[in-house]
Parts: sequence; C-alpha cells; structure tokens
Amino acid sequence: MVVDYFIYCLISLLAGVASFYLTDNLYFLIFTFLIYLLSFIAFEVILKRKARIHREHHKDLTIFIHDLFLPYSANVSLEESIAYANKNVSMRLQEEIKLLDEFKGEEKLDRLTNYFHSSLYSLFLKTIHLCETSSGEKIQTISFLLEENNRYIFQNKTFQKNAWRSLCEFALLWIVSFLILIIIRFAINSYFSAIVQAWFYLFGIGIYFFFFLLSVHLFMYVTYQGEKNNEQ
Amino acid sequence: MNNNIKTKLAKANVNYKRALIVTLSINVALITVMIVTYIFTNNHLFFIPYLFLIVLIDAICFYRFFSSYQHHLEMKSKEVTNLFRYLYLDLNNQIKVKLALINLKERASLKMVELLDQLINETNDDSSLTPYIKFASNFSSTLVEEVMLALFRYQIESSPTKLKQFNEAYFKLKRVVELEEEKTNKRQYDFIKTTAIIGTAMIVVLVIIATVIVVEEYIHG
Repeated sequence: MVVDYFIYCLISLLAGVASFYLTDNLYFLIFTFLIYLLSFIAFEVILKRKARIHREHHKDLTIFIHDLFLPYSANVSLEESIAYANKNVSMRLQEEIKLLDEFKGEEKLDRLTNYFHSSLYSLFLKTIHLCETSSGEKIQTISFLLEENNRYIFQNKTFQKNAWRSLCEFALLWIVSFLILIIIRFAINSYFSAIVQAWFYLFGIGIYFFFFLLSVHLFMYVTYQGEKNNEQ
Repeated sequence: MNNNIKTKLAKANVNYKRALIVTLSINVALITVMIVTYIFTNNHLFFIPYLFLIVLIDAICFYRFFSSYQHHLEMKSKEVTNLFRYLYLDLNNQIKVKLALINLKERASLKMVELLDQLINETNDDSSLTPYIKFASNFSSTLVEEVMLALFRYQIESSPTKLKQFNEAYFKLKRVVELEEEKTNKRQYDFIKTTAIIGTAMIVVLVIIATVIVVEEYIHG
C-alpha cells in the first residue's frame, strides 16, 4: 500500500513538473499536482481498498479449499479437515473461524459466507453438502470443485500477466507522447514565451493533462473491474 | 430501429429517456461553457477543444449505451454458465433433473429465477423439447441450446452415456464463455491504449494552432 501511495505521488509530481515545463507557470504545477494526487487518493479509498480486501479473502479461499479437500477426500471428518485447512490461512480468517467454535461442520462453513462473498465459496458449500448427504461419487464431486479452484487461480494469474503487459504498453505510449511534447517544447523554444501567454495554449495543455488523468483512471478502473469479474 | 434500441437498452436495465437526458444535459453544459469562454476571450479557436470534448463525451456515452446491451448478454451467459455448475454437481450425484432445476433457483438472480420457474412449469405440462429450447432462446450463445438439448435427452433416458453428453456440452460452453471474457478484457485494454495516441494528436494540433495564433499576432502587430 505504501508503494501505491509512492507511485501516486511520483506520477502526480511528474505530471506537475511536465505541466510547469510546458507552461512556465508555477500555479499550473501546484494545481496539476494536487488534482492528480487527490484523484488517486479518492480512487484508492473508494475502490482499491475494497479490491485489496476482496483479493486477500479470495486468496484465503483458494488455500482453504485446497487444504480442506486434501484430508477430506481421504475420508477424514469434515471438522478435522477444517482444522487442518485453518493452519495455512491468514490470521484474519483464523480469527473468524475461532469465533465460530460453537458451530460444527457444515454450519460453521455456512457462516463463513459473509467473509468470502464469492460464487466459488457457494459452489464449495454445495460440494460439501453433496458429499455429506448424497451417495454419489465423492471423488468426482470434489475433483470438479478442485478444478474450478485451479481455474480461478490460473485465470487470475493470466489476468495479472495481461494487465502487466497492457500496463507496460500503456505506459510506453504515454511516455512517447510526453517525449513528443518535450521535443516540441524544444522546437518552439525561440517563440515559446509568446505562445505561453496565449490563453488557448494554456487551456489546451490543461485539457491534455486532464485527458491523461482520465486515461490513467480508466486503466485502473478496467483492471479493478477485471479482477472483480474474475473472482465472481 | 428506435424501438429496437429502446428494447435492447430496457433489457440491459438502462432507462432510454434518462440516458438521453443525461447526454443532452452534458452537451448543453459544455456548449454553454464554450459560449461563455468565447464571450470572455473573443477567440473562436476555443471552440476547437470544446468541440473535441463534446464529440469525445458523446462517443463515450453512445458507446456505453450500445455496449451495455452486449455487456448484459455476456453477463447473462456467464450467470447461466455459473448456474450450470450446480446442475452438473447435482446430476452427477444422481439427483433428478427436475429437482436439480428447482435447486438452481436458490443460487439464481431474480430474472433467472423467473426463467427457471417458466421452464419448470412448462415441463410439467409439456414433455417435449420445446420448454428447454425456449429457455435457451433467452441467451445469445447457441451452446446453451446444446446444453439444454443434452439435459432433455438425459431427462428422457438417465443413462451414463447421456450424462456424459451433458457434461461435454457443459464444459464446451464453459470454455467458450471463459475465452469470451478474456477477449472482452483485452478489447477494453486496447481501447484505453489508443487514448495515448489521441493525446499525442491533441498536443500536436494544439501547438500548430498556438503557433498560427502567435504568427498571426506578429504579422498584424
């Protein structure tokens, strides 16, 4: 999280410095820096924090499912399997399970629905219910859920890989855009002081930086939505 | 054509009138600011960035409206594929088709429950394939029809072969929906990457216009 805030400050500072370089206007630097930083903080508070918690819970879920079914598929009781799965999960989940000590087996798992909020967990509960109540193939039922669990992990990894690749391409394109800007700034150096007085030029630069901010937020939002869709 | 758009937006839970009012309000606000800016600066070149903003915002609004229906279809396909997981589990644990369909209602959204209710009620009166095909017609993917056909066959003859056919149809649908999701995500990122190119074009046009203004002022003193 500290790294995120550092990156927000860095991007805001770079945008501010770039706007100052292009306008020779200190107010532009301060205004750009503040607008960028406040918008990133707003995004962090409104969406990213929620996404971070959701991601941690989902990671817990995949570990919990995997570790529970290891003993459970070998005909160990559900209660003992839950105790075994509890060892490798986060402290937060361990505390949550500890609060449910009075409940046993399926009932305990039912009450964890509020913690996980995921369709995978819903499928997990259904699988447990079928294993406990029906006379069908336990191994086939469990292996389907484990496949789904692995699919979530794999899909998430693929999504992260694609997101990183897209981020590199996105960053590169905007770096090229800023480089062109700097080159143009050098090219018009002889009459730059005249151009910078024109309201139209300042207004246009403002629109450009606003557009850049919008573009970055759009990227962050699509990434957030993609992660959310994967985990549902 | 207008009615077709309205129907599609209604299915995607987008209020057509409200959407138009919001778009028009944004356009009116931008035009007002544009006129006020012109009055204060007396420079007609200010129209260019405002017109650019109006075109951009209108494009985003219309893209959002038209893609909301597509998004709605994709979400429906995803929902039904997720629901079929429970159907798969039930059928492979020797639970009857009718009971398995009733069990699905616990996990479904309100709209999906309506469709399931319709399917279950119709199968009580009609033992043909029709109710299953009618259910499948609510989804854009033809693979949902394949799954429902396999389900119907399994209901007629509850053999391991028919169950295996259902399983195969379901896994095929699942894979296609996953691939569609990956493509949608890639498309969204590609669209965002083009904004950098648009930004560069903006700045080049801006500098050219600013240079023309300066030269014009120099020539006219």
